[in-house]
Amino acid sequence: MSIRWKLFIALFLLTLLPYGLVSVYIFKYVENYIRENIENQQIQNINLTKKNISNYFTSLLKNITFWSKAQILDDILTNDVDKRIQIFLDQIEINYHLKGLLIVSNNSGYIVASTNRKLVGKNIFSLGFLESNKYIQIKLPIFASFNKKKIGYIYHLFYTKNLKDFLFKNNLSSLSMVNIKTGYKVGFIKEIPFSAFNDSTFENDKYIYYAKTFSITPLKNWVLISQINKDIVFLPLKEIEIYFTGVFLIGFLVISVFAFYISERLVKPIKDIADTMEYVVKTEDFSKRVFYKGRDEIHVLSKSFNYMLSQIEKALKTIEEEHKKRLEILKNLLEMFSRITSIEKEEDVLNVSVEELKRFFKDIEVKISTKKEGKCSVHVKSEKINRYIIFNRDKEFTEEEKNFFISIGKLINLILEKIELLNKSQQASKAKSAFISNMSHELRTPLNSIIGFSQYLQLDEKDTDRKKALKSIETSGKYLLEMINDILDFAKIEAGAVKVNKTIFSIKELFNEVESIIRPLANEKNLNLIFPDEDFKIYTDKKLLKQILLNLLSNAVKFTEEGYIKVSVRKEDNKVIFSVKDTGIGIKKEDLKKLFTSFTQLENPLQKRYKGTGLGLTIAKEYASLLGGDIYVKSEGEGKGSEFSFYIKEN
Amino acid sequence: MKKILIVDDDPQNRYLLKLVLQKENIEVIEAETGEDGLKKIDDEHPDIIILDVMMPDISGFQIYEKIKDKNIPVIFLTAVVDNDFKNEVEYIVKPVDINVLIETIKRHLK
Repeated sequence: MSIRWKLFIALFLLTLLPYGLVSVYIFKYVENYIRENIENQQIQNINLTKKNISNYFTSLLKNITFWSKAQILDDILTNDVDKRIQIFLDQIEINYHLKGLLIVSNNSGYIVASTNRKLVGKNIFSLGFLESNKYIQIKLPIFASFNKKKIGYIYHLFYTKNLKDFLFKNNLSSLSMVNIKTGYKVGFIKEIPFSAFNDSTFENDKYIYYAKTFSITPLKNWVLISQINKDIVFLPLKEIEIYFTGVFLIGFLVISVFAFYISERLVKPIKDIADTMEYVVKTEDFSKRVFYKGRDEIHVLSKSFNYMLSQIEKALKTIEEEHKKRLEILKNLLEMFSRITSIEKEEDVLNVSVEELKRFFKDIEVKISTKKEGKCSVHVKSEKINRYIIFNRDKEFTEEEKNFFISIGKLINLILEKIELLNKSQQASKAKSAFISNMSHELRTPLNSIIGFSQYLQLDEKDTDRKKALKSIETSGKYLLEMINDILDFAKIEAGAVKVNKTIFSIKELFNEVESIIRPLANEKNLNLIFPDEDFKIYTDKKLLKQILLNLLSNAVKFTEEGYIKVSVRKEDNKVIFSVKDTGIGIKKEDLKKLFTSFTQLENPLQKRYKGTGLGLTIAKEYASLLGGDIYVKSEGEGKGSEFSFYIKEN
Repeated sequence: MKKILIVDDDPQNRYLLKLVLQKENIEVIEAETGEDGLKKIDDEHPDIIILDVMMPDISGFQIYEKIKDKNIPVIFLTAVVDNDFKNEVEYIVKPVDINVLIETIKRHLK
């Protein structure tokens, strides 16, 4: 989870908690307040009703007590013959609007007078009034005014149903009176879901009930009950609940937005730094910077971060520059060494080296001297040279610098040594070449004479024996010449004196020249000599190529007694491939390798017949390699002919 | 009688050529060095010149350069065939086969 979400949740919870607590507390407080208010009001209502009822009965009791003391009631003793009690009762009924019956009886229950005249003369106990729920009975004794003896009772039978006049019903509450003993009810409450009647409250889903008992005697069995309809009473509470829910939701929303905004605001600069870091790590572009306007810890962080980036950037640049500088120095050093090592003339070595050193060490004085001097000197010595290279500057040289100068001195001495050796070997090589050249001339000249004179003598010679002898001299001379040529060619190769001189010429022309030399030899042995018809231009050393072909062909003629010798040629990329195939004596497999070794002629029962230096193939191979190619041999075995192929490269 | 100048530092060779050519009724003048040869070309006006290529003082080719415009046929005696004048002049490859020599000379004298 990202910091932003963590922060958001923390902020959200931190803000929501107090807000929620305060909201709930206020809600509960208001609810309680309203509830108490309502309850108080209801209690007041019921108390008022109770008071009304109590007052009514208290005053009723007082009046009856007063009435019971009336002198007129002495007439009980006469059974009210004069109807004076009856008139008294009637007048009370008119004056006091009684809500029940007023009855006067004697001690035995005989009814003397009653507001209901039908009851006069009857016994009150036999009427069953006193047990009936229809009435609430108030009974007071009557004493004779003259002797204070009890002479009877005055009864007030209050119509129970008239209690209803004290009770009421509205949309909030209903009131009822209940007789605890009998369970008889008067009033507006339809159903009372409890039976423990004392001063108490009872509550169920829909209603709250308040019960009140009475202290006055006539009502001691009665309870006043008020039923309050919660739905209606707590309606304002519901509204407040809805209002609070709304306020809470709005608060919740505001807190969410606030928390989101704050977390976003707090986290954004951190995220910027993180993003920048990631970018820098990914791209290695240390020129990136973080921008933050605030003046807090994040500002310090981004400042430090930017500072770090700029330091890294600077460090990297320095390293890069240092690296470039070093490479440059290394390059210069290598160039200097390469120039010094490529000096060819001994007399240039000192001057060029000093020149190079001066160029390389810009702040060091470098010069040549005949003696040791300065801060550091290096001895340079060869057969012709004996000098010191002097390095000088104001500051002393370090040990490393001195070692470096000494190494350079060693290098220069090595170059001098190399040049000396090279000169010596070149001189030796030149001498060798000159010797070979001279020898070649000197050897050939007398042989030419021998061959020439023996030919001349044969011209006029009639004696066949002598002529044969002369011919023999000629043949031997020619053979000797051939061998000398081979040896001289080989010596030339060995001395490295063979120079490749490439020209463009026609291959056909070359074949013609070769054919003119080989054809007579082939004809002598009755061999079929076949040259290819192809003609194309070729760029190589003609003399060397011709020599290769001549050597291979003369070998082929030499070792073939019957059949044919076939020359073929083809071009392949920049290669030209030649092949000389014969039907001669062939070569043993194990001998194939020895073939191109100098001075080797293969062991062969017929060997004595084949004379020669054994250098022909070696020379051919050397020439082929001088022309950028090589030579190969293929043979099916002894007596099965052989095929020599070679290729040369034109570039 | 035709006149042939032989310029060759090798006396043996000169002698051989002289013997062969005299047999063919040709007058032979000899020169041992290049210098001598040049002098004799001017003095004797030979019909044909046989020039050895390799000589100590002046090479056969150098001599040929100098006498080119005199329009005297030249036959080189050489071991090396490939050179600058390959197509301008006649060659006899060493060792000299006298039969070839006689044939060549006769062809030029006609």
